[in-house]
Amino acid sequence: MSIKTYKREGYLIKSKDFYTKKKLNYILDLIQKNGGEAYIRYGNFSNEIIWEGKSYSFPAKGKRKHFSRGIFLFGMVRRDARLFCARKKTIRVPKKYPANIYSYKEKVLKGNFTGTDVSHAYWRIAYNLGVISKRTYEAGMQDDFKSVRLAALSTLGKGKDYKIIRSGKETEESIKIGGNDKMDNIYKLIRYTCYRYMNEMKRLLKSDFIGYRTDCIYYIDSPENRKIIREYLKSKDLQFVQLIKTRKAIHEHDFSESS
Amino acid sequence: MAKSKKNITPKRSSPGSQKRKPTLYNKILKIFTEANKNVEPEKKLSISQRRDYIKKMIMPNFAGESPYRVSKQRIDSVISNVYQTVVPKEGCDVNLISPSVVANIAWFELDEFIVNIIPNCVYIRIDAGKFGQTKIFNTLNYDYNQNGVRQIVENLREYAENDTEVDLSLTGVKSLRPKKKNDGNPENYYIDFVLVINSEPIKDIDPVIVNIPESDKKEIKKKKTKVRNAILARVNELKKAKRRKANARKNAKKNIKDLEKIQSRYVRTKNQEKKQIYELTKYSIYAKALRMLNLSIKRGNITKAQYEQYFNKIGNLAFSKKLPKKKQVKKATPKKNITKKKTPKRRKK
Repeated sequence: MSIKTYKREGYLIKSKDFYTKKKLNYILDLIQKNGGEAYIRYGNFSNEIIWEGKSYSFPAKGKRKHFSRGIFLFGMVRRDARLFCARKKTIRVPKKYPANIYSYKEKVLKGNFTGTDVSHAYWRIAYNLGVISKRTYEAGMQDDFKSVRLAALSTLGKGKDYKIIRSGKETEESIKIGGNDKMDNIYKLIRYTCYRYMNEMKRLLKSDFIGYRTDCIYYIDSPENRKIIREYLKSKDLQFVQLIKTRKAIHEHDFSESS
Repeated sequence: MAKSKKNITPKRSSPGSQKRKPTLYNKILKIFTEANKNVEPEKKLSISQRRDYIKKMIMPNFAGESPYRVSKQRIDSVISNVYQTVVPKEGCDVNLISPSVVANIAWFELDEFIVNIIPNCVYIRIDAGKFGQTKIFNTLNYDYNQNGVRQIVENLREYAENDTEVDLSLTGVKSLRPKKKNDGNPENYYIDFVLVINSEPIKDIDPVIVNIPESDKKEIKKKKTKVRNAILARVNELKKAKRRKANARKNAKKNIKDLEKIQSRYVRTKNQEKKQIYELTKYSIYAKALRMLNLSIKRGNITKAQYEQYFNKIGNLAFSKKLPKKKQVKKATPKKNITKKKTPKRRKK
């Protein structure tokens, strides 16, 4: 089934308003009584109905104070990303390495291990690559804004999918609004760069490498290994945290995609 | 026998009821009103607009002439010229007004909605149940007091103040005017604004459905989209204007707060160097605040009274040598939920 795509939301939405959760069913009731076509989207933080040029937004779940506070970051990241796109003719996405790797065949490994966690990896890489400005970087550095930072980067270039409501009933058909491949490639650039760094550290550690999960790398604990990792991360201008308590056992499932 | 003539005494005219001589203005107004009834809804003019046109465009054509010498035909020809200059309004057909545009209107924005958003050539009614109900009236000659909207809004205000958690809004429903046919004629329909309390309407919402022939559906959809976009553009303009006004007030208050801070530091410090620095800072803030105030009044974002209020405050703070007065914060008393039953007042005939 082909999905109709609208490039800009301005084509369907002429006015936006915010309502309480209780109004959702009431608006759906009105749509049913008046007939016509409408579109509905259920999101993690808000639900939205588009009905005859007007957009009705409702909060999805209970209030999340820290998320509602950091919403300004979305606008800042998008603006910086657009400027980044304008500066670059094309955005070359690097080779994709795995997000998680566990190098040993034995399911459980025992010994002295340690790990190095890259602090706010995606956010820092975005700043280093020039995707976000210094002002945006500093604005998003509060601990409360961790989920907002990730959401702001991951939703770059992503369109929104809406289900179609006909005669008051939700159908299986959907439409897509927005979506920009170039902006979508920016997030891929950030993620794949992070995985590339992890892979390079794996190569440097050789047989002492145990595994990595997105932005945290585990290896056999020794002063030389710690130095290799520290110097590499400093050369890439990344901040990190060394795990103080070395783990006595690592299991294969610690590195699986689902965990 | 001859019939006797009855003694018919002539009626005495009451003092002051002598027939006035007809003026040219009144003659023109009468003919204009008659002509306005026959014109299409998109071109109809309100009474104030007609008076304005008579003064500016019609009367100059007959300056100095006696009303007896000016024929109806001459007046009609001038009036038809006036109608040619009138820009037809959009959305005078209730069938073209989208239901989403008239859904969920806040009770305190009702008057603003009727004046600025909804086309001023359609029939509407406000049905707020126990809080009051108006007659079906045309928005062309809408008056906040005379049409009964004010009384309903005041009743709703009293209810909302007593119960702060209640959610009151109004939703427009397309309805059929009494004794009219459901045949698609724009004059036969009106928008019934029904009160909704906590997402529950006070009565069943059943909009009238008009059967449109297949051949006309495409054209009507186009017209509907045009009307909807025009109305939503007005909604957005209003929102922008409100935001500008709110920002102007916010900036003025912020500047006053900054001045108060600097003023208190200036007065409290004993170090002469710091005092000079604070004084310079105070004057720069004062200059900035004044510049922003003048810009706000020029753009119409604050009223004259607000301008004078803010101007006096910043002036007093900038040139005073005393500590700024602290506002006394009143302790908030919990409001009691008193539900008073009030019957809507009857309008005097």
